[in-house]
Amino acid sequence: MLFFAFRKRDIHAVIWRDFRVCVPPNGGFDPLSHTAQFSAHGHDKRVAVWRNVAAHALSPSNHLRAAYRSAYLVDTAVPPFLSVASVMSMKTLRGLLLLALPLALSGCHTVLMSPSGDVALQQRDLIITSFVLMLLIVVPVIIATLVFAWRYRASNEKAHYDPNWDHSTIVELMIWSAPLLIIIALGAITWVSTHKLDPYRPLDRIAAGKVVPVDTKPLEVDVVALDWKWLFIYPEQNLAVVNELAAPVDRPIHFNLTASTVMNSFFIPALAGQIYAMPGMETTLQAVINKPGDYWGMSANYSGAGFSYMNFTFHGMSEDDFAKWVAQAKSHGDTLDQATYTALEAPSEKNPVQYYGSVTPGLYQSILNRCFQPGPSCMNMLRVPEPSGGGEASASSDSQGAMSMAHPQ
Amino acid sequence: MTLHSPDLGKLIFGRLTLDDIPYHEPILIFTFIGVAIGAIAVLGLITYYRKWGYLWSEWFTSVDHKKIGIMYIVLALIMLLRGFADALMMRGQQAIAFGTHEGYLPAHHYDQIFTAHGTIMIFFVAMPFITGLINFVMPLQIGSRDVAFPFLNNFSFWMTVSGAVLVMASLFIGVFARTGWLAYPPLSELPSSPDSGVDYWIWGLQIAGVGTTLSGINMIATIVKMRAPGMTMMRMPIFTWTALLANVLIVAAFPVLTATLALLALDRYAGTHFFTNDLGGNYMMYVNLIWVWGHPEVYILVLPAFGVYSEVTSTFSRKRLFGYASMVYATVVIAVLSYLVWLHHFFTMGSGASVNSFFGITTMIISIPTGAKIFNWMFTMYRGRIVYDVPMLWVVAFIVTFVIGGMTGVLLAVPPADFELHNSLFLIAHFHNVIIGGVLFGMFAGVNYWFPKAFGFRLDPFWGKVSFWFWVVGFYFAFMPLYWLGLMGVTRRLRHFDDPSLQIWFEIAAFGAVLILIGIAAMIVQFAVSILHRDKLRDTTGDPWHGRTLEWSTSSPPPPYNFAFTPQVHDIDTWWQMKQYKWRRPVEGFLPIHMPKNTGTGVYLAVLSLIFGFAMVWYMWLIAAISFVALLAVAIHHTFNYDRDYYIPADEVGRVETARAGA
Amino acid sequence: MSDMTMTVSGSGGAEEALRFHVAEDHHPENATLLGFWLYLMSDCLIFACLFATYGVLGREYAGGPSAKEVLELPIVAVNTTLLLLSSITYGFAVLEMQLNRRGPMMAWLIVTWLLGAGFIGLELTEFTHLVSIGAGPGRSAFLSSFFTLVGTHGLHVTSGLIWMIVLLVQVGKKGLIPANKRRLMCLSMFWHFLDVVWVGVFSFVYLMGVLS
Repeated sequence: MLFFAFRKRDIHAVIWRDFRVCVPPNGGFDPLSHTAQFSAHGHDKRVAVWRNVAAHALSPSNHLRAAYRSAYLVDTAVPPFLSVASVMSMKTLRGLLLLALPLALSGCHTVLMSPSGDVALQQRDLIITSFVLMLLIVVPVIIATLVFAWRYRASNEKAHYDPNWDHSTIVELMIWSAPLLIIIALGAITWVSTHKLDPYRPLDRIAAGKVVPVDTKPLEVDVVALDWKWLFIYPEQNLAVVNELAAPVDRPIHFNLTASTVMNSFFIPALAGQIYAMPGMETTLQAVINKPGDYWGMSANYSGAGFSYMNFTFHGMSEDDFAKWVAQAKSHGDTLDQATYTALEAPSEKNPVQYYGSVTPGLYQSILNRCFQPGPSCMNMLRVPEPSGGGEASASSDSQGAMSMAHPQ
Repeated sequence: MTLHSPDLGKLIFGRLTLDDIPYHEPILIFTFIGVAIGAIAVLGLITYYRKWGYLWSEWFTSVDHKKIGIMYIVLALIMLLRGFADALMMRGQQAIAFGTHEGYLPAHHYDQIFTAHGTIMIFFVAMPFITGLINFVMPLQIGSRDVAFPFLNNFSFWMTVSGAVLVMASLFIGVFARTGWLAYPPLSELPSSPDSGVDYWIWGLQIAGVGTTLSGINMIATIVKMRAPGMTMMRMPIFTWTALLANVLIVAAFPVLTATLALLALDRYAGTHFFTNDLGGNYMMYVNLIWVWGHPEVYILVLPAFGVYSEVTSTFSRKRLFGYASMVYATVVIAVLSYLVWLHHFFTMGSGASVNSFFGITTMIISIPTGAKIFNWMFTMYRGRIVYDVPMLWVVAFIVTFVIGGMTGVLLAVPPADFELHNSLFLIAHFHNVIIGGVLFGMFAGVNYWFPKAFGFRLDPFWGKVSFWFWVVGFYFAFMPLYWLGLMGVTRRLRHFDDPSLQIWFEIAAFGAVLILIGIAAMIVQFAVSILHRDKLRDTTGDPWHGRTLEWSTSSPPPPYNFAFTPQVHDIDTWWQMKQYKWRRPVEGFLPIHMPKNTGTGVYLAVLSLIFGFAMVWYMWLIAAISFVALLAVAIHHTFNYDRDYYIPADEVGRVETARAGA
Repeated sequence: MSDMTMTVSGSGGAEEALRFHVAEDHHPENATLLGFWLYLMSDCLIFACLFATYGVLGREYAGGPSAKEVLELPIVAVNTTLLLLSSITYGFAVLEMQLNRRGPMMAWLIVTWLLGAGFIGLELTEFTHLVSIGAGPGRSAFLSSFFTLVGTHGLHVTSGLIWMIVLLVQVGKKGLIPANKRRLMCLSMFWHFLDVVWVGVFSFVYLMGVLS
């Protein structure tokens, strides 16, 4: 068949090599130039981080250096720029593939293609695998369409014309089974990966080939999306921070998420995929950061006027740096209690980073159950006890089951 | 009861005050002045040429499916200009708002724009486009003289207009929703959105939705009951098949939207707790319900476009459609599956892995019949004699573009991948890729294809090609950078960015939007040039493209009764077969033809609905009550009219047919 | 007739004759009943959504009264009886219609109307009582979904009653002409449909609410 007329093996080799080029051992992010530094002016600092990231991403020398390093690790025979050049000159690949390759190449400095957390990394691999699987059918289709469109143009008298040819069992069988096969493969991958990368599932590895040590307890972080800033509560450290998040590298992080008024989505692209943060509901995200550095996080779900500024910096740190960060943050004397929380909750934009050295116990649960809202008392006081074991689709079942109290009757 | 003047004011004007007129916003003032000058010019011209009577009696009150279809498409094109103006403004804002530069749109305005853009493009551009094409083409394709319920058809159209007018009114009176086009609660509930915006959205869609549902019922009944003798289901033209399934989807999906909007309205108006944060409300239910409507909606839009591609491909390849039966089954499978995938719009809402993978896999399965359709078009071209008139150009652009959009769609259906790509510009690029590349390209192909049938002359091919190239190239410039930005972790609906390295991509996207603007301008020029040169472009045969289906067997434009004699069908490509057998339109033996009468009731009902909707938006309870009662009264009064049809005498039919045969 | 039948030599040389248009007067079937049935199905979906909503929210009492505390089966039993009876009397009306007996037909229709009005009256009584004890639709998600589901059904019955009056006038004026018969059949479908929906409401909301 015409579809597979090009040299399949070459394409695969090239695609795979280039994707490997995308992943230098250090993730393309030089930790030395981003030593964590404290600043009371959170916003300015965020801009500074942005500039760093941007400068880094755009700097060809950095990029090439990283690429060299990795390419020699993977395949010492061909320097990467040569492989790029050879790709560019491969006439057999024509059209779309030529377009796709530079795409994939400059994808190198996109955060989704070179993340720094193991979960995001697995998600990246999944995106690439699915993409390549689909290219198997999409590229031939596009090429064949263009070829047919050209070959059977009316002015081409030489082409065979068969005005009544409208059925062929073989062809029909093929056009249904080709996509079917791809989808079977992709469906299997989907089923497995969705279970493996379920954000609720505790991590079983912190990186490829590194299982979570048995004595490691995940770092607990309670996340509250407010109008329009993020509140992070560290229950173990008895610490709360607005618009800044830090975690030690290679230690699993367990986020519990909720929101004060409307739906938001908690998203640190370098760390892991996003999950909604919703008022009166609790969602969970399990993740791990593998490289020290400053990464940006945001709300990915539109939540009103101040949404564009609902960003924060996420610091991946060594255990020691994290301890120092916690100590420094705790040295701010403020306490986050009901009064300060209510004041903080009021809508505001472009909030600076803010630290609370201590947090009233149970504050997060009270936020989750909307105890600070005007109107009747906490949600958990109002719910009828549910028979245990709620449906898995219910994000609220956690809070509901855990929080249910005797029905006042 | 004594009425003090403030109370009286409140009773009549509700919460509408002078402050709700945005006279302090220069952009809106200039828009208003522009719209006003345009409107005065158009109204003035109509008055000057004394066309009001003609418009009223020949178009507005018409129950002729062809005229209603044309009016739907005119509405779609007008609203396309509005929706696209919104798009340009967003692209402009995102191209400049970096670092310390806040851009030119404050959040208050920008957030309305992206909400309006989505709402208008889906409900008032894409929907009227497909409804219009189905209205115009389908009865002709099945050899019918009209739809099953001609009055209802007129009413449905004017309800759609009503909804559009209400949404447009929010430009100059009050504000539109700032919630995103699906108005997720709790953001769309009173505490977060107390002003008139969400109410405009609710009532605009609710009124238009009534029209859409009724039109869906009408079209199904027409296809089921009014096909010409001999046209079995498996001999229906493929466009009619897709029309049937799209309308089945409409009837099965729009009631869900109606119910969901009603519940949201109750929350906002009656203080209920369906989707609120408190007292047991559950906004996740809204998200589920709205997508139970929303996903089939996508297929409602794209299926008729698939139908257009099928007709165009086989006509311009001068060849029978490849794999008719598998095309039909694929369409049916897509229609059924479209109800089993809605959860893929919110994998990130905390569902368990099994639920997520179930919906992810059902979504991927849709790509199998869709893939089969694409192969079918390809093999229709295979061993054809392809003539590249403008409609066929759109088909080729569609296949290439849609395949890319389909691929990224399947990628988004993999839940863990979606965790990274959800809400990102990658997603935005994906759905514009399928809706512009799939639906809009199809509509443009359809307009160029059927225009000579509707008006008796072709559209100018040169400007058609100019428009085509600017649209297609503009599309790639506008949306490929968004895929990219999505991979860079950039999410949607942002009006400001910190990272300056992103700016170049937004500038490229804005450049693409300008190319599309030129494409739209070229399209307008195309219409103008074609009308000016209509004598040169005139088609006297009624069959300018060597068509294959029944609509081409009539003269162009078809007479009000479509067919002097009901056709008898023996094949899928009926007209092709008739041509093979050298059939000619009969010139004698005419019989009187039974026809429905025009009526203005549809217009009256729609105007009253508009007043009712506007009054509800502004809490004008008195006016709302009066208009509602009036609505009922007019509807009931209409049922007392038993005199709804008439006969065109046989010799009149003879005169028309002879004139057309001689033309 | 020769001008309407085309004769062409087939490939095998055999003469085949195909007629490509109908020379006689041709009327497609009337689609009103099908169309109305389709409308009922779309309406059915609205009720399906409301039932689903009630299914999700029906136990969200938010500290307010529960279904068991506020729903009174006796009233509803009477209500149900009225509505079921009205379906039967409508059936009698249709039988009379088919016999072309206008007077008895209208009489049965009036009986149906009275039963329906009784149903609405009792429902309104129930609603006012609930609101008066502070169990209005704004009290909790359960009550919101209860009032909306039951109220939407009630609104449908009310429009059925208005329609019935209109039809009574029209039959009175024009008699049992085909157009009116068609309308009576549509209203009949509508009325029985509402009965079926009510059976759902009765079992799903009232019985399950009170007995669980």
